[in-house]
Amino acid sequence: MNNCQLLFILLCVFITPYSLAGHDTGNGGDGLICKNLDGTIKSIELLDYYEATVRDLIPINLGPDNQYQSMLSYVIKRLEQLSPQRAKIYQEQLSAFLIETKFLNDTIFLDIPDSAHDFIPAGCSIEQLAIQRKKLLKYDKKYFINNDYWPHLPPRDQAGLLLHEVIYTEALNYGHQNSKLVRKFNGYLSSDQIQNHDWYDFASMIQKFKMGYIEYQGLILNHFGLGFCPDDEQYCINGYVDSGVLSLNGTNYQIEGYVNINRNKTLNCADTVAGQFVTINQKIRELAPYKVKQRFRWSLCQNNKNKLTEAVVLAPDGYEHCTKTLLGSFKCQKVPTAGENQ
Amino acid sequence: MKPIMLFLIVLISFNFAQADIFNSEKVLPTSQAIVCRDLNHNILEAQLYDYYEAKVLRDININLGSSNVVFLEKALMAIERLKKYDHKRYVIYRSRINDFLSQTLFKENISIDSEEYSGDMIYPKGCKIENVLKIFKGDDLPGNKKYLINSDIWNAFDNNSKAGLIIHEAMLQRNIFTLNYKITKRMHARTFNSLIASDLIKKITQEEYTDFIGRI
Repeated sequence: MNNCQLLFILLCVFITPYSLAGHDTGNGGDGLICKNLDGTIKSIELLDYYEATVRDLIPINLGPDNQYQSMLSYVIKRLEQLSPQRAKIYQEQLSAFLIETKFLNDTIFLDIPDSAHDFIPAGCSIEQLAIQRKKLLKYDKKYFINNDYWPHLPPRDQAGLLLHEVIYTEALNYGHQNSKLVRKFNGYLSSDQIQNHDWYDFASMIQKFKMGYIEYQGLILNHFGLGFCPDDEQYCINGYVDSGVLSLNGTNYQIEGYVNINRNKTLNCADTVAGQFVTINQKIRELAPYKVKQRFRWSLCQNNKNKLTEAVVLAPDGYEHCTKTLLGSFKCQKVPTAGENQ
Repeated sequence: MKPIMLFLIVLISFNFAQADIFNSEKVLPTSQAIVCRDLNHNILEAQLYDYYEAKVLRDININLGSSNVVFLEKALMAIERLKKYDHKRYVIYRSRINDFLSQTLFKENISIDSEEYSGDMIYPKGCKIENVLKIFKGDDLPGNKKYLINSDIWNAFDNNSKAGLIIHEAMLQRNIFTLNYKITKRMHARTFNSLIASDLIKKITQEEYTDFIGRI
């Protein structure tokens, strides 16, 4: 073990407990409250939307209706185009929101130090509008809303507060330590910006706001990366699928592993579970000119006309062997290593 | 075993324990109460935060018998409800409850400060959240007492709140040598305290209880 390895281990050992320590208490949406000289409320605005419009210059657009419920439907529908699974989860949580909520009068919500805001107008203050917390008892409510402020919130900001809460619920799964990116993501989802974005733009925003996954034809892609694919001379996304089903040319394939997709949403390759191509597996075993010691990695690939052209089988057995097999006519070929080429 | 591996194991062990070690060097966390005062700073009303939270946030009715039952009896009554689900814990808590007063120093005209953030806090307008109890470790208090209580708030408590405070500390004590005093532990103790101080616990199954304990 050299000094660098030792130093790395020591750093990991010391840093881990602190990096894992975050807010496992309540969290919730903040409001920007401006008061008159006599203490009465002059205006209340959701901090998310104040920051979106004043700092990021993104106009909020929650549709033509003036009811907060209609506004939420408008946002969810817009999100559905790019992230249907996420839209469905949000919709379910929003539908159950009021059942899971207790409105409290004549109370003070101690500000949870999770806003990490940059600036606010002079004479105004940040107040906690809502708190969400983990349910410890099955009878517990999840959300608490300060009812001294709620009736003063414009419908647009009421909708935004509910959105903030469901986004925050998701963000907590990704280890967000404060609500800064949640507010930004809320501003993005509540604006026309998302409407003008294609799937690739949306993925870049998800990456920017650290909001976990993107979706492709029902698959959930975690740990994805955006980049330029030199082979195809275009932008593409490479993501990891824990488990999912992909329908290609009328056949369902169980996907596990890496998936590579072009910016125009066509599939390049997707790793499948090994058991699916038993016949191919058998052929490979029959035809492979070398002994395979380790498990295969299977990929389905398409050509640029969206036609499934080949199954690629990677068989790492100490060397980097790769066997390409055309569906229908199996061809096995050992890819020579650099040493063997010489 | 190579010396370097041994060193790493010792280091990792130390690392897991260090939060407690560091915490033991300072004042351990405090228990909170809702305290309402008049303009002269006299206490009008005081209530253990656990039971305020139970009532206002959870709609749980605290049931520790009639108001003239003394607080120690109330505390024992609450943990009696635990007996059926968790006998071992019941025995431990009973012992700690019985020892509580002998380990406590009551002081009037004091303010217990703490920068501890004990989870999200909601409280009624016109009142404040104040620390009612502080735990010391070691020999900081005269006579090796463990708890310091603000007796002005204590005296304003009804017997339910007094009982609740004792139960709360009995619950939290369990974690001193095993887990760090994470803020959620106060929240968990408050929740557990509310559960056994009400008839709600009678409605839950053994499986639900075990699941709840596992989560806290």
